[in-house]
Amino acid sequence: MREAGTLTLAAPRRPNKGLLAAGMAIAILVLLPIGVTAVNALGAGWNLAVTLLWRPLTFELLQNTLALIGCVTIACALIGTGTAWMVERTDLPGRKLWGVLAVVPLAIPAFISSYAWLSLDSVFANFGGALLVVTMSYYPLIYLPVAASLREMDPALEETARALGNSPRAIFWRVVLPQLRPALLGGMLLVALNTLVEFGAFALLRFRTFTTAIYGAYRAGFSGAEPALLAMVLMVLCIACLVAEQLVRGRARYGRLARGTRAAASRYHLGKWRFIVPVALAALGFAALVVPLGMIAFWLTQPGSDATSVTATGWAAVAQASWSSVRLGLGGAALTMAMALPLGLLATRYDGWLVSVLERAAYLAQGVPGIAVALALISLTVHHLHPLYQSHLLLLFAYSVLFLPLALVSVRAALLQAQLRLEEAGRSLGLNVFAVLLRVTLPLAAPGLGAAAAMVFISVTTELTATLLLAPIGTQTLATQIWANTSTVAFAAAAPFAAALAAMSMLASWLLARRFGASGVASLAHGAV
Amino acid sequence: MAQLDISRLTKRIGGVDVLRGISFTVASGELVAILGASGSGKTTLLRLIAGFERVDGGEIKLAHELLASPGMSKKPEARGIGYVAQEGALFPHLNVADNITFGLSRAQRRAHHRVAELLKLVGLPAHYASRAPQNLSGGEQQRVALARALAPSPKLLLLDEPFSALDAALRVETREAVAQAIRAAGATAILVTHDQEEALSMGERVGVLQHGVLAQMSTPEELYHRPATPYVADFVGDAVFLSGIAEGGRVHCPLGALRLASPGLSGPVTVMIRPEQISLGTEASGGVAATLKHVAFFGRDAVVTLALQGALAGDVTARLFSQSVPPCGSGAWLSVAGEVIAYPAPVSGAGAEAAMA
Repeated sequence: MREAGTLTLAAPRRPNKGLLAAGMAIAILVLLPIGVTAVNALGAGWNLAVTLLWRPLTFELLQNTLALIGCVTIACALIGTGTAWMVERTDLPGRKLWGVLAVVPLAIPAFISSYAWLSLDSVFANFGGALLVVTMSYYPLIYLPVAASLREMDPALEETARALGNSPRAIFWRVVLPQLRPALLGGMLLVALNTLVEFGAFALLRFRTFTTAIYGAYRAGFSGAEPALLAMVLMVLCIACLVAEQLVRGRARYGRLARGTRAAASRYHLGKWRFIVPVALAALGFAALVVPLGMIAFWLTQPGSDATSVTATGWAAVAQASWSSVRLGLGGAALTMAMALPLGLLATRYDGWLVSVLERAAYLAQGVPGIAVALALISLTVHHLHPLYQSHLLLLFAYSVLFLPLALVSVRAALLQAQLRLEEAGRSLGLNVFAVLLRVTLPLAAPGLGAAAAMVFISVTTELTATLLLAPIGTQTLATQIWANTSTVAFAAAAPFAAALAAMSMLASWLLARRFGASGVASLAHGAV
Repeated sequence: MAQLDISRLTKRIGGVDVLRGISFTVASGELVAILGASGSGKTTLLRLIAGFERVDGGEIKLAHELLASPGMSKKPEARGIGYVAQEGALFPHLNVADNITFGLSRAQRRAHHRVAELLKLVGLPAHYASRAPQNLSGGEQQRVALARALAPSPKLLLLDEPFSALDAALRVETREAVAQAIRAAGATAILVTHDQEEALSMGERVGVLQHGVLAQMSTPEELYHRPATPYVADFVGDAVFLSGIAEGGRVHCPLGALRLASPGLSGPVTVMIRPEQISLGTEASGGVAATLKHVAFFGRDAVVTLALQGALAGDVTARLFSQSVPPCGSGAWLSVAGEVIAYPAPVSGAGAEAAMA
């Protein structure tokens, strides 16, 4: 995790004991769900485990999941790379606007898109629908790193290749693509990871993957072993993706050889494609933005929602659910930051194997699906810590486990802003440790810490799986109300909640993007830094 | 290798005339340096020849074949012109051998065609072939970039400030290696630079580009000793400018009656003297009396600022061997060796005036 270059800190120091103890406690807490899942899965005995896993259902799930991931990843790669190339490398009219539009879908949770498509026509409740919804939600994960890569690339490389006799098409394959490889592969693995852990969208579209099967097994009241076993398989797949992503990111980053200033890349003339490309991008924008937002707007205008709804309706209910979502978001952000700060301080201020193990443990949580975390915590509290079962604290803890990696990336970056040598300069000017913290470290790190908290807030409010499984009875959030109404085909009743959630998420993302730049925020938000 | 003909070339970028009617010819096998300050249009000129930009007026011909004219532009990949970018632009995902063979056919790429030969040509050991570009120094990267550009045997080679990113010691060494390799390959080449020393030492002919116009193109010696305009004189080296009156092959100026390189001139003129033409003598050897005001020491030589005495008051600079510099404040008698250059327009104001050192 340690980056080379100017930001690395000076001589290794021995960590403060209290800080180290806090870091270890946090790492253990974060790894707890993985441990509980493993114990539950294997606790029933090896033979039962083999019997439960070695049957057609597992293979069907594996086949469904892998086929979908393959298609989604390839579709996202094509759309994301194509859009990035058009925006960054051609004279496409209105490319700035297209660049923004290509990122906005990240602010709309996939289960809201699936609600929109499903309410348009039930024909989308199949593989094709799942492919469409998830691709439209996740292609920005490819667009962002690839566009950044294209911007960073030295234009002299392409010019030199042309002077050496290559056509633009040959240059794309021989020069541009090889250099996009780290960004592209990293992005594809993130898409695969997000698809693996997606639950809401697939459940609504009635497409069976590991997450929906785990949920089904849990709801059907099966013994702890079956959902836990399936969760184990899913977790192994996730962690494999995560490790592969780390490898790709760590190894294949080609440093730009040239330093100093350089000219902007020359753009290709679209020529006869001048009209086709905007139409294609408009179609993409239509599928990724207009349908989800348009369907919400359409259902908002449909009367008679009260009759079909299983939940309370009306604006009072929406306000109440919004307030629950905001409260959980704030609580989740606070707890997550409280866990991220000690780890961030350890990671940026100290060296040593223990520190790097703790940091890696925290990042490992990124590979644990929400459904596995939720089931592990349920089983743990039901059997051993009953007072915590169905408590707000447990729900907030689940959020912290899920979003700690996300927070840690930005907390780490923020703390690096306050470099050790600046703190040393403060000390040499007569300030004590606390004065330095107050007058040097925090002012420098504050914007980044704020961004981290805001991103956790957005993620918590749009999180469905953990909320659905762990929310105390009577706690209804926007996400759970959309879920309840959509699963019972009460589309009009779901619309006000969906509108409120989409508005909240997009507003918060926009505020963040305005402060920190769209690509910065979005890539941080998905660990693709 | 082929001859390059450029005639009346013009280019506008964003409403600014970057090139305004450039014409010159590069003979087959010749190395021409184009010298210009930043913003003079020298990089644009190179990009037009390479085909990265379209011309607005004029023509570019290579081996008598039209490459570009208004409304017509042969694709850069079809021109057979090698290009060495400012910082080499080696492909970071390919090793040295794959970089060098990049512009060759698939079969030649597989056979590592000419890799060893080209590495030797640019003065790098053969085992560099398998290195990654990241593991080369800046100068080595430039040499590989040159080998890569030479590999497909281009008709013309373009070098865009290839040494500007290197530090001083490496610059001289790389410059010599590159000049030698280009001569050995017998390539026709154009080098663009803002460094006058680099242009004068590498170019068989040197062109000075001033605000999109070719102010002068000639051999390095001619350019330095007989610059066509005061701008060129000042740009290619240090110059002392003085007012004077030309008459009968001589010019009368504060440093005496000096022999003119162009005897036809008469009337008020601006005289240009190179600081190394001025020497310091004793009262016995005679000359114009002056007081030594300031010495800038450079090691091998030194530039001294001298205040002329009497009615001809003013400053001139002289470049001397550092061992023969008298102490500050002492008197000296100045004399000028060789012919001097004069331009018809006089410097405004009376008396002696020293231009920048």
